Amino acid sequence: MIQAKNLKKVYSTEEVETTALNNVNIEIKEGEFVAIMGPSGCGKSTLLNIMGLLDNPSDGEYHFLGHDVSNKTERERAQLRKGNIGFIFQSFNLIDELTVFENVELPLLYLGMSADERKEKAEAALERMSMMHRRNHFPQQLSGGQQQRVAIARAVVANAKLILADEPTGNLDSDHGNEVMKVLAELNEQGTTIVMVTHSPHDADYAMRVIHLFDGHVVTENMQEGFHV
Amino acid sequence: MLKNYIKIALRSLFKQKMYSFINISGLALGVACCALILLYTTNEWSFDKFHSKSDRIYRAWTLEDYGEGDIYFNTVTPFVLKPTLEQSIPEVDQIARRYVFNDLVKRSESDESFSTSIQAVDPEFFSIFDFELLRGDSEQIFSGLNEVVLTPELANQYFENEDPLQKTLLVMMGGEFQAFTVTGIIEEPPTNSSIQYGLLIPMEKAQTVLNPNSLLNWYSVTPETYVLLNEQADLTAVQAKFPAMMEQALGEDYNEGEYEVGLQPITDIHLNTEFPVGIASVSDPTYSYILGAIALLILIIACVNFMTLSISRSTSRAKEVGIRKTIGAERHHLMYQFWGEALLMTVFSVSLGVLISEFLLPFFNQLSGTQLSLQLSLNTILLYSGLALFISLIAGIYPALVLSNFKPIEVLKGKLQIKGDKNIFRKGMVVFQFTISIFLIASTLMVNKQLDFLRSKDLGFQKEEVVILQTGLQLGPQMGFSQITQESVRKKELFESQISANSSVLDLASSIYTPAQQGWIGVDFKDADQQTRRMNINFVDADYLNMMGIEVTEGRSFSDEITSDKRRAIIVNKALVDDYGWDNAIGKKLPGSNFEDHEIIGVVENFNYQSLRTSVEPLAMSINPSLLLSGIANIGFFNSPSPRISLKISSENIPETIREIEQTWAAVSPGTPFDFQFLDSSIDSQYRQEERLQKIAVSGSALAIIIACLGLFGLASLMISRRVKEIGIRKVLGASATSITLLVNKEFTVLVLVSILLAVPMAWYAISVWLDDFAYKADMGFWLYVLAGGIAIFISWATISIQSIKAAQINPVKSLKSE
Repeated sequence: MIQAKNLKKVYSTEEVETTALNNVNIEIKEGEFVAIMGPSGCGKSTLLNIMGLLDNPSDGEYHFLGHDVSNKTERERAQLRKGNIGFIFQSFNLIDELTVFENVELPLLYLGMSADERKEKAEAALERMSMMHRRNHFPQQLSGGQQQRVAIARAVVANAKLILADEPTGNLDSDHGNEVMKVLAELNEQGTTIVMVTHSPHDADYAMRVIHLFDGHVVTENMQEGFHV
Repeated sequence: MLKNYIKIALRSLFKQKMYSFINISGLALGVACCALILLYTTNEWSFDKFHSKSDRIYRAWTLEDYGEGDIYFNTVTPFVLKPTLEQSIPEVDQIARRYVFNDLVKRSESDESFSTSIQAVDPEFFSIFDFELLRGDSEQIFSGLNEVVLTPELANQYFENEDPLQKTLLVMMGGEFQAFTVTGIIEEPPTNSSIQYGLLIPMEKAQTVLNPNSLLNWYSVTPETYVLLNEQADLTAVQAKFPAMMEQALGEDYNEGEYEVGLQPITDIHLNTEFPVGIASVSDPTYSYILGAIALLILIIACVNFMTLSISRSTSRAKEVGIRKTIGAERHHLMYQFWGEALLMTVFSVSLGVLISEFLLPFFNQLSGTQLSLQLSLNTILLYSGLALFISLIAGIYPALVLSNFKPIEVLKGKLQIKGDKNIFRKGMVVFQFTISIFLIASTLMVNKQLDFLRSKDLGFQKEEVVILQTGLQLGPQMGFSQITQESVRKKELFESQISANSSVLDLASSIYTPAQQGWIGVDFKDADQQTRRMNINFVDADYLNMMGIEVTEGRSFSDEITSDKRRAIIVNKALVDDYGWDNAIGKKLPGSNFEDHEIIGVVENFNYQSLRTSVEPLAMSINPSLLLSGIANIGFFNSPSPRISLKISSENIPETIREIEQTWAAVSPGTPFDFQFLDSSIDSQYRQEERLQKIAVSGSALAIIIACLGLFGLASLMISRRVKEIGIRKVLGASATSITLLVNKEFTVLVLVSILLAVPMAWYAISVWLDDFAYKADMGFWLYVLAGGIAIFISWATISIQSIKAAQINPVKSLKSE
């Protein structure tokens, strides 16, 4: 599903050049659950952004679903992203002015689906995350765990093949964190590929494979015990 | 999708109440102000266009040019022009003349009489113009001589609830009351009509009391002549026939180019100041332009506000943009969304603005001296919709472009920096707004200063506590200048004898004209070298100069004791002495050859008997009218000559004094209406247009600065919210709250200073153009600009400090944690 070859990402300001990723080679197959770990500033999020087609690498190749996307325009990346990739963030990133239902429905709007279809899918996603009873609430009226469940519902509503999670439990207490991790594991069992950036070894235990990054390099790749691709 | 956008727009509108309020109210105020001024200017430009034949109706003018500046240009014409045009010009469809005089009108012999403006018109008046005859037969109207047509308002004044038709009305004509029958009711003239009327009588009837010579004379001009050309007529071709017509009409008196006749389109009358003022009033289009410019500036300020605030607000929408982009929004989705939001806001603001303008209309009418009403026609709705669309395009497109261009990862990571933005755009907009505001403030201050100057300038005579009483005496077949002046003096003496010794009336005198009448009698005469000389004249009694406190600098004033003064004495002003280059005027004679025996006995200071727009012109005054009238070649009146009695009164208990004057006047001149004015207020009324401008400029600049400050307030709070971390760090490092407040204020103060630098030359130029209209100008002091700049700095500091002081007091622990 994902092949990265010699990925390089350099951020430059007027005076300083920072290399966030350096010769990163990664392959992720469909149905995998991969955790990316490493200290702050090691390039985890940069990698996730490139995988999520939010950013272009400075150098190297990146293939997503068989398309070479390393040099695509923003518009082309957006087209490919729609419906294929779902995002989950540490800070949930729900739109405060929209209700739970409307937040979940939003990706479908941009896919141009009819209102009936949107309703059906959004409700199904909410049902799956056990959030139907909160469908008319606004994000601020929910607990952190509930907000993250809504964010997950939004990520999966369009049947995304890949879910990218950026420290999904970072803002949650351990109970809610576990809950979210269980949901992700369930999704993975149902066939969704998941790539998750995390600081927490506990969360990483849910993954089949852990990639350690340090200063922009892949240091180790470990298969977790008990998991087989 | 649309539903989603609208939902988001409304919810974010309500979420950020302060910004929404600032944004909407600022724009609404701008729109309201613009709507009102637009109403005013469109009214000005719509004058006389309501006549269905307005493209074929012209007002005739005459131009006599005898060389050497001896020019008489008039939009009032000889009576004889109508029959001449009818005979010589086949393209002429119909002609209606009209002239206006004031006289007494009453219902019956025993009734109270009203001084009324009476219009004498030809019967064609009713068919050329679109003034609707509400009652009466338009075919038959004015077929009799003693018919009168009234407006509903006047009909109601005379007859109250009775049916006015066929009722009798007594009108003073030629010194006696004559009976007229009401045969028609005509609609009130629209406010945007140059031709205003109340009581109409047949021209043929009015002519019976005029000097028969003046009806045939080409050199005496009285009525306005309105010409309706037929549909095929070509104006140039018609006017080309006029010289031949005049040659035939004048016979051997005709010299080529000396006597020209022409036609002015009726729709051109109201705003064309190049033509002399006839009976129809004329408005200076400059004031429309100035008002229009103020409205436009305010609207621009409001739009700029809207724009800067929307962009600044965008930071708070950045997260939303990031999320939307991440989950699949493309750039055009976001552009539509933000432009749609701008459109929603502008539609809301414009609607609110129209409501506000409706609410403010009565005040505006008072301010501008108009009677306008807002009518929501299809046109105005289209206009306002267009305005909303236009503003939303201008105000919404930039935010739409900027916001939709955000990089999702950056905004979600809180690393947002608007591309290439060092706040230059927003700073530029602040400078722009303040430049306009300071320009308006400085201009307003100068208009104020000039008006104060006009009001307080020493005019060279006593203007306070002087009451001017109209004697109601008019020139007529039996009443020449000598008769009316003598009669006025007789009334004055009678009045004097009736008042008690301890009366509040301290002094009184009679004269034909008083100051603040647009002009006195303008005359021309030929001097020994056959050169045309010009001067103004006035006929006064022996007490006038003394009573008015006009200073005699050479020679002496008129005296009752010296009997020859009544016959042969003339007093001139300094301007006349300078004009003739005399060293000593006393004992000299006016250089004309035909004047009766006379002698200049005194010279007065150049007192400002005219408006301060013009410098003092040469003036001669005598007690004996025929003395000055004898030697003149041409005479022109701005107002019909009518003697007035000026009374100097005590400053105490003025209402009581007025009552005393009214009672005495009733005894002195029974049946003459009591018609008085205070001299100072009629002098002030000369500057009514400037006063209106002042009021509108004050409101306009206040509004501009309010809107600009609303914007500044919003902007400051947004800029500060971005510097929370910086402020926190500074505080941790030991900065005091004061130093932080100063730090933030400094940034904006620099912008205001730049605005001052830009605004001052603009204001200086605009003001000097405006002041060119006045012969007497207040001096454009440097302090004025300092004050305007000071006001701007003060207001901006007050606005920003509310925010910066608050920011400076935030606990740094809190602000740093939030980063």
